[in-house]
Amino acid sequence: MTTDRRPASPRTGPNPNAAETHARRPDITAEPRAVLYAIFSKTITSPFESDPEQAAVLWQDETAEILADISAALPYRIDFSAFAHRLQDLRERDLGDVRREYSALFEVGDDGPPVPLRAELVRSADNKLKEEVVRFYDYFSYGLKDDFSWAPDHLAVMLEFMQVLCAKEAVSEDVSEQQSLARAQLDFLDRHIVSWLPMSISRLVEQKREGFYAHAMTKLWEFLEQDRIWCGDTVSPLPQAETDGGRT
Amino acid sequence: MPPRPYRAFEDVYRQKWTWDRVVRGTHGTNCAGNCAFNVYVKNGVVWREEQQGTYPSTDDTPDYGPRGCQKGLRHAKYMYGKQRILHPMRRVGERGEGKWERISWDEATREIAEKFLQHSLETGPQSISFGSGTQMGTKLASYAAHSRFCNITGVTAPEFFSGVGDLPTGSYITLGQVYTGDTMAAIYKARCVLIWMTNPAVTRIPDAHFFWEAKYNGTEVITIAPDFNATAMHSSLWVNPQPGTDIALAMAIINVLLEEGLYKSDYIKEQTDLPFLVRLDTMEFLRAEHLAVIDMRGGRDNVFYMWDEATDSLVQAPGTGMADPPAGRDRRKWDSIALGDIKPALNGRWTVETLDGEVEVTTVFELLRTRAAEHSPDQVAEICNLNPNLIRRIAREVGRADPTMIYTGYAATKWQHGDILTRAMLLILSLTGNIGVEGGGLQFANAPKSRGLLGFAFAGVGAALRIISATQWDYEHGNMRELNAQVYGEDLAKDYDDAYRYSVREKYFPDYAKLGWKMGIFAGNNGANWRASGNRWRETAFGQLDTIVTLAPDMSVTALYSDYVLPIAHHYERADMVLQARTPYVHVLDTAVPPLGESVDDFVAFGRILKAVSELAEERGIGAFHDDVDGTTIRRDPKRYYSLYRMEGRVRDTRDICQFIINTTPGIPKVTFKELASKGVVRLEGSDQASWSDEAGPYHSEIYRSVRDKRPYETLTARQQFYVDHEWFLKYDEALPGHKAPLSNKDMPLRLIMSHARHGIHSMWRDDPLMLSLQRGEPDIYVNPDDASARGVEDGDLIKVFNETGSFIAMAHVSAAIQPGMTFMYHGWDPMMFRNRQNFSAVICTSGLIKPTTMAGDYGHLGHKPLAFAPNQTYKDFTHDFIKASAADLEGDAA
Repeated sequence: MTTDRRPASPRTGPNPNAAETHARRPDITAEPRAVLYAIFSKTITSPFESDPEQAAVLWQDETAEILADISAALPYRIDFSAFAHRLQDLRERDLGDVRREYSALFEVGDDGPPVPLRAELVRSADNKLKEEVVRFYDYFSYGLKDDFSWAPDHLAVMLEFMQVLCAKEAVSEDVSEQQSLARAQLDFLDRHIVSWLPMSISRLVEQKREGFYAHAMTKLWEFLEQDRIWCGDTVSPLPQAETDGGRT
Repeated sequence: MPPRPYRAFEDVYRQKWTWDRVVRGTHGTNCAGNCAFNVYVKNGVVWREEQQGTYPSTDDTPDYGPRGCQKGLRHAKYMYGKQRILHPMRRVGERGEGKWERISWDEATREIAEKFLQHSLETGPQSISFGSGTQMGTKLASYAAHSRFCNITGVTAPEFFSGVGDLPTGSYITLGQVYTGDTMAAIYKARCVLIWMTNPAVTRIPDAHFFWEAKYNGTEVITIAPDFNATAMHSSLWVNPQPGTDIALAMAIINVLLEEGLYKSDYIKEQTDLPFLVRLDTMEFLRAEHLAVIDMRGGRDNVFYMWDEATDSLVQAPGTGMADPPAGRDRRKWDSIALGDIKPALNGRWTVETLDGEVEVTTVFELLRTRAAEHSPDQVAEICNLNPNLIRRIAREVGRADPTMIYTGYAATKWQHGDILTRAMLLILSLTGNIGVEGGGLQFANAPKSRGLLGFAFAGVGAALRIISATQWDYEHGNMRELNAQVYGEDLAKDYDDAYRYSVREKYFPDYAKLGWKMGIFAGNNGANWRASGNRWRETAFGQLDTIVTLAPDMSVTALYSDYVLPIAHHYERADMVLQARTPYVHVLDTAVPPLGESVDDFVAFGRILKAVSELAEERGIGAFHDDVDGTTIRRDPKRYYSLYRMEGRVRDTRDICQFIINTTPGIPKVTFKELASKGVVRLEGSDQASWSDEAGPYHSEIYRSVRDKRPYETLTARQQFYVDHEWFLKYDEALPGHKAPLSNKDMPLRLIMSHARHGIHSMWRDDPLMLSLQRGEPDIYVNPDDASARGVEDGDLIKVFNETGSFIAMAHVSAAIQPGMTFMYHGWDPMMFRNRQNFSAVICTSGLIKPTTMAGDYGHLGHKPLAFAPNQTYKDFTHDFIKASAADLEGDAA
């Protein structure tokens, strides 16, 4: 018997009482959420791939301020202060050291990466789910650079896609479009991020990993858990006619 | 925004899934399947592959299609798997600990270059090995790049043909040629096929149908295998000798052929040394140097004699006595073995006046009869545990069918006496006139006469390649003499080692080991997996290296123990081409997607290393040095390595190399690489027959020309040579084939037989989850029910397989298809898939079994000839036992 140490998965599906419980208020919530997804996407991007100057932006004092503002604007409570602090600590660290920590956790190992960041390495052995990821991207005209096209299911890419959806929701002035984007966020989170990320997170726990990236992943999961619940609470269910398999 | 508002995830499926492009491809791996695929790409991802349908064929044999097995059809998934190496890595823990740090290509190649130059200059480039393997050898451009790298730098290239025990030295001893294979369609032309030492239903998945189509067309298909395998299941007859007794069976067949007159006298008189005269005092061939004959050819050791019944006198055998065998196009100047008016005797004894006085002589045929008489079906039945009438039945079938083919595999050559078995197989075919006829012959392997590969390796540089048998390399560096003594006794160990040392001292074989082994580079080679006596090799040889570099697409035990691991592109991520003699076409690998992560193809990877070497040499002002290669002084200038490698910039990528090979290899139509890439497969010239008998074809056809055009064979006797009077062959009673029992370990009753797997090609795809789900999901070993029961083992139990050299744990797969006294395991399971990282090589203790006759020299065609005559790795001359694994066994420490 093994103890299931996976973080508890948030409940699935839209909350049928969304209209009565929480107003989504995309004008307030979408942009901070987009920024947060962007921050986590860039944090999880390999320091080997990212431009050191761009990566260094994350470590600036402004980021801590941004995180504090976001924390205040989010419809759920998350304390990013420790995370912000750790981001700033990266300024003092040797880039080689940061890279070593990252690659030892996420990129190299004798049995694949110790903590995989690609969905394909964690879940189903067939291509169906990866195909759906690409279909999502195509549906929303989200394209990958050539260097990364081979890994559409990399967590950093998927977080960036979430950023794109949130950002579109933030600038949209059409309610039905906002709702459409909200549903897409919920479905993508459910089907392609929270469906497998807990298994990677649990490896962090099992392997007793520490350091900046272990903390970042833990904080990311905390955010995703909350965001998933909130999305489920705030996404309006489709009108009955529209759920009838598109036949009407 | 999307075409319509998103409502639910099903919406993303409303757009039809279209492809950005479809690319022609295949898998450049050592299955010899040569299967054409269409590879489907969308958004920079390979999604699937499909079998491509159109293949050339002859009018009178079945079609080659469809082709493609479950492994190839899985590659679109496998290439993205967790086993994939995506970045250059440097070891940070102990070797084998699996602790790495990702570094840049520049860092990696710089550090590798430091070591490369250090060892090249301090010890000599021969102290660096660059091993390629079967995963590279089939991709011609990559293999050509490897060869050029080795040629330019002078590193030692341990070749993997003999290194994995695949070299058909018996073919070379007999025919002067190792390449005796035709296309698979030739099977359909046979009237009787002995499938011997191979399991095509499992290992030739796209081609096995040729056997069954032949069978339903009236061909007698006889499988000779100790286990009831998938091929036996479909055959006309299954014959199950005890493992290791196949030579006896072959000799018994020969016994019946001779006793019942089922041989073709005219054929053997012309084509073989069977009518040649042998002195009964010394058992040597009668030679010109023995006779009181003085002429321009006096004193030659390659002038032989027959007894002419027409004139009742001694005559020189036609075609013997050439000064040196012509090479290349000069081969047309060869003499002829046509008999003319000579009527050579096969039977009889005569007295001949020699420089030593009167000497009685007889024919090789007479000696063969005596040898065959020692292998009557009744005698052999005891050895093989077969019914003697079954042996007679096979022999009569072989003798009557026209033609008869023996389809064999590399299982034949992995025995210590595999050369003798091969010689016996050839003798069966020769006696019945079946060598050099379509539908007959020993169907083994074939290779392009000139792939252009060596041409590329030497272009602008000259030939300065150091190739050595990996077996010989390991013998030296793994201290295998000690292993022999431990397992087989000091007498054998001394005997073999004395012959080995003598051979090297006399320069029959080169001594590349005298300066030691400092650095090992491995590409397309998982040597730490497949080496016989793998544990010992890892400890005594591999583990002692100063620097180990592996270039591979996937993690393996070899990579695990390396100091640097460099990521290499997989099959759909490169441009290359494949030639396989079993099929009548050349085949493309085209780039479907860029290499994943930071991986690059082999050509680029090797170039990066050389670039770093050259830059470092330039920085440090390192000048040229002189290197002695087999007596020739070569000037090597590390500053120029990179520019030479790329032919001063004329070679940009593997497409250029492919074009070079296309342009310079006879038999390949002179298409552009682009045309090849658009078509996928292009038919070869000279492929109108199922056999490679047409000189216009790219493959070796010398045997056909000897039979058809009476051209001398490239052997000492200019014939199919069944009698070898080298002193070591005489000493060890191997002048003629004859049964020799395989070696065993003391008190170990079970013999492990292994073969290629259905669910992997060597270690590639072996760890794929889908492939594993089609089997038991972990390494398993087939055991006989009685042997299992006697040990309290049930199907599915974990057992410890052991002998005095080591042990490994595997699942018992109890099967009545396995006869008592043997076990069976499919190969390719990497040690990383086993508990404690101990795989079957832990019990295979045969690495040191280099028997003296395989190091013979100073004898015509025998002597060091890479990829033709070299010590073959042995894998089967050992035994073991097993017990149910205990909890302690299962919790043992990792190696």
